[in-house]
Amino acid sequence: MRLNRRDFIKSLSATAMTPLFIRPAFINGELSESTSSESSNNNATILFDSSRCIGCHECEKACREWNYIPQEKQSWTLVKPVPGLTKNDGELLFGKYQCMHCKDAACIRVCPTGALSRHSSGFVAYDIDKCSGCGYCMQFCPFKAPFMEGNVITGLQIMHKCTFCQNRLEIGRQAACVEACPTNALMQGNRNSIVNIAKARISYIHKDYPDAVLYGENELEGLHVIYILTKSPSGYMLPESPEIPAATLVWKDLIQPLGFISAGLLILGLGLNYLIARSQLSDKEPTDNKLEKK
Amino acid sequence: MVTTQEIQKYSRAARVFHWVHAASFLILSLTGILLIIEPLTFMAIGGWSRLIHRIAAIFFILAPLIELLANKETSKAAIKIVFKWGKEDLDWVMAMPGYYFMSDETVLPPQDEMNTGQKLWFLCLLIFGPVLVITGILMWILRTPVAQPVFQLSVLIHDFAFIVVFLMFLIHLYLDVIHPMTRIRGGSLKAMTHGTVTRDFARTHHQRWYERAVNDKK
Repeated sequence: MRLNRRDFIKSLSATAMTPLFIRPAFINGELSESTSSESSNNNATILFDSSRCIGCHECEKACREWNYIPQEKQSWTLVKPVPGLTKNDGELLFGKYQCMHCKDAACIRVCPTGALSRHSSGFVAYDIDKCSGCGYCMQFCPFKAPFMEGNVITGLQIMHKCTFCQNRLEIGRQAACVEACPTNALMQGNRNSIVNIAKARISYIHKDYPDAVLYGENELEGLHVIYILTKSPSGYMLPESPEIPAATLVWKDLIQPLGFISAGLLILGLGLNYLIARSQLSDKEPTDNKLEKK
Repeated sequence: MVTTQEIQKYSRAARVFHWVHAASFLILSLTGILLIIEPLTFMAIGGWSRLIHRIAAIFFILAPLIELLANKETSKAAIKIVFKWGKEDLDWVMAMPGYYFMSDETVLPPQDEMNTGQKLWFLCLLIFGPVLVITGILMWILRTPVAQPVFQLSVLIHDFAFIVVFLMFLIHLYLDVIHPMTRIRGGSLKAMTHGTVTRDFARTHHQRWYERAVNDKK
């Protein structure tokens, strides 16, 4: 099956070279793989094009299905209408809310157990078996993407977030949401080609959406989930310029190292004191009756 | 039993409080430090250490509160002392190297029931104890990202306060259990386990308190 797909992609890659064919390329979701087939897949990126999303929630359903998320639980990706914004034809505009897989990820910095890590394909991998439920990732995430499930009082909780369908990627398939999208509002592929496609799309929709922006190309050194937004990010309830919270750096790069250094010095000092005090004591003992052992 | 050689320093209630507080502090420290020291973090997986942390926290909060309410007068007096600093404290600091390094008991200036070091430790707990409790409760109840900056600041302050208190605790543990002088003298450790110190220890280490205690008895 993979071979077939590859052949198919090869045939397409020729057309991708021609700018004339850019438009059909949008419609064909498979194109995104055309360039990634050449380079290594270490830059997997998903594009969400808000101008093409019709709010059918097929991506959510596919996410639930693939990741075994029952209906009563929160899906790892959420499609929501954007309040106050509509398409030019009056239809609702939708945003897709989920883990953005930052290149510079606060969650990886603060995760104590290494449950969150950088996948070789660039996105933020999540190993649920290592989660301690501390919730730091959720509290330091600029997008408030991770969410907790479990008992608040006991603190026995577990975090959930989009895993980039890591297990699908590893068998050569695209993320469940991407494959399910009927309008190609979602595409997945190598970062460079996806960014290029996104930019081409933005110029294509420019006459309808003059304020359209590409979100995530450079934010936090580049997100692995990028958005075409028809308006400014804040209109979509996204941070205009997401940042690693300063507290992360003060905590992880200043207070904790200082703590380790001072604890080390203190223990060294106390050990030294012990040796000196003991030698002084043994010097004294024969002459100093006051310190007789009981 | 208090013999003529011994003199009562800590009441039974004070000792029980101390050890409950100490045990909860130790459990809190160990379950908390799991999240900081990388080779140990695997023990935090699943969150059980965090549940234990919460249970210990209840004791850590309740023990001092109960102690405070049960012995209002002595607690108030002790807190007052901790905030009163004078020349004898400076003298004690100056005498420290002679005592702790040269093991010379005679250099100690007369001290009250709490010496300067003990006052420092108590002061540290009075300040950072509530800080740890407040930031801890905030992190306990903020289980959704409704107030990210509050949580972030809490983590930061909780961590910082823990480092300060834990370093002070190491000093406390060292001086009262491990230091060569302590091991010979018993001193404060025995006061905390049996409630008493020897007259000799009281005279050399807490002279002003000793003289008052002896005068009161007469």
